[in-house]
Amino acid sequence: MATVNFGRREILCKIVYYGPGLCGKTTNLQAIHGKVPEKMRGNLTSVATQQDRTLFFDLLPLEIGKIRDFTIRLQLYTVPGQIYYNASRRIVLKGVDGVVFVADSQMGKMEENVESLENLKENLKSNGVDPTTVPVVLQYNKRDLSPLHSIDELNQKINPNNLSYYEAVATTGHGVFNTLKGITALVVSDIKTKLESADKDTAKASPVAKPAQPAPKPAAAPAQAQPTPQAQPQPQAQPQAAPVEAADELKEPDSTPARKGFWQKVSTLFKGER
Amino acid sequence: MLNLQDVERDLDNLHRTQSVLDRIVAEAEALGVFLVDMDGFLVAESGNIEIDRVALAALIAASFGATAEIARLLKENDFDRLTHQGSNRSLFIGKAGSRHILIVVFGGETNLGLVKLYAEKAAEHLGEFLDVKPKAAKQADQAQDAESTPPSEEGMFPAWMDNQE
Repeated sequence: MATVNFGRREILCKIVYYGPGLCGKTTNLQAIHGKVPEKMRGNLTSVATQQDRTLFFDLLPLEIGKIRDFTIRLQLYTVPGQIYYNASRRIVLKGVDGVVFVADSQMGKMEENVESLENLKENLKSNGVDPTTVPVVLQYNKRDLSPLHSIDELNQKINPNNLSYYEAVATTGHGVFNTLKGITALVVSDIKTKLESADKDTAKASPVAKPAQPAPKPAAAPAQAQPTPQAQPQPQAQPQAAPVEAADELKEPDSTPARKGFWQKVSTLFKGER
Repeated sequence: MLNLQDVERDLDNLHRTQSVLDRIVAEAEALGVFLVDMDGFLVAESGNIEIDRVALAALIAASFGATAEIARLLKENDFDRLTHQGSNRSLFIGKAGSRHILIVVFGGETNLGLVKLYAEKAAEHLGEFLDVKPKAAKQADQAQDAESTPPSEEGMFPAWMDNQE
C-alpha cells in the first residue's frame, strides 16, 4: 500500500513505468513533465547513460490533490528497459503501488513486450509481492508508426485478461494522460478503500472519536456511506470501453467536500490531455 | 488496515525521529539530516539546506539498494554505512533499522569522524523504535500466514505465462 506519512500529512504513491527497451517510458514522463503546471510537479530526475538511455531510473514527482487533508503525491518512475539491467529494475520496483506497462506496438517487437511482461511478474515475485495485488494498466505506444500490430493482436498476446489499455503516441503526448489517469484511478481507489475501512473500524470501536486539533487523525472522520468507486480492472466485453470508463471515473462528482476538492484538482492537473 | 493506535504510534515515532535529527544537526554540525524509507520516500528532515529532497530521497534509496545488491554478489551480508566525500559537501548514509536510511549532509569544515560518531549512534537508536511493527502490519502478516493456498494470479497475466511455471 501507499506510504502514509502522518507527520507531513501526505500519502505517497509509487507508480512505475515498465516495458522493453526503447518503448517510450522516459518519453511518457517527459510528456507529463512538459504539460503539468509547474506548481503541481517537481523536477524530472534522470539517471541515464551518456547516450541518454536510462541507466537506473527517471523520476517525476506530481501532486494530485487531497484525501482527508492528506496531500497525495505520486512519484512516477521508469525502469531501464534493456535486459541486462534487471537488478536495477528490481530495485526500482520495490514498494510499487501501480504499474504502467508500456508496450511497443511496432511489428517485430511483440517478443520483447512478452518477455518484459514476464520479467515484471518475476521481479514483483522476487520482491515478495503477489503480482495480482498490484494495479496494472497497459499502454500501446507508437501508434503513429507502421507497420503496427493491431490492437486485437496486442490484446491477444499481452492482455488476454482485459486489463485497461490505452493507445498512445508518447512523442506527441497523445494518450499519455489517459494512461496516467487510468493508473491513478486504480491506485487512489485502493487508498480510499483502505482509508474508509479505517473510518468504519474506528467508528465501531469508538463512536465518539473526533479528530483532535491539531493532531492529524484522518481515521477518526465519520464513516462514508457511499460506495467506493470501482476502479479495479474489470473484464470488458468491448475492449475500447476500458479507457473511457477509467477517464470518467476521475470526473465523477461527489458531495463530500474533501473528495470534491480532490477530483477537481485531478481534473485541473489532467487538462493537459488533448 | 490503518487504525488509530498505529496512527498515534507513527506520530509518536515521528516526534522522536525529529528530535534525533535535530540533535545531529546541532551536535555534529551537519547542514542537513534526512530520514528516508527504503522505497525512496522522505520521512523526516532537519537543517537548512537548499536541495531537491524528493530526488535526494529517491537517489539515495536507489543507491542503497544497488549497494545491497553488490554486497549480495560479494557474499557480504550488507554494507550498512556509506560515505561520499566531496570538496565542499559530503554525505554519510547509514541504515536505520531494516526499513529506513539516515542521510547526513555536511560541509568541508565538519569532521567526518564527528559526524560518524553521532550519526552511527543515531541510526542505531532510530532503528530500535522504527523497526517495531505496527499492529495492522502484524495482523496482516498473521492473516497471510493463516492462508494455505498460494496467491491466485488470475486476471493479471496471460495464461500461457502462468503455464510455464
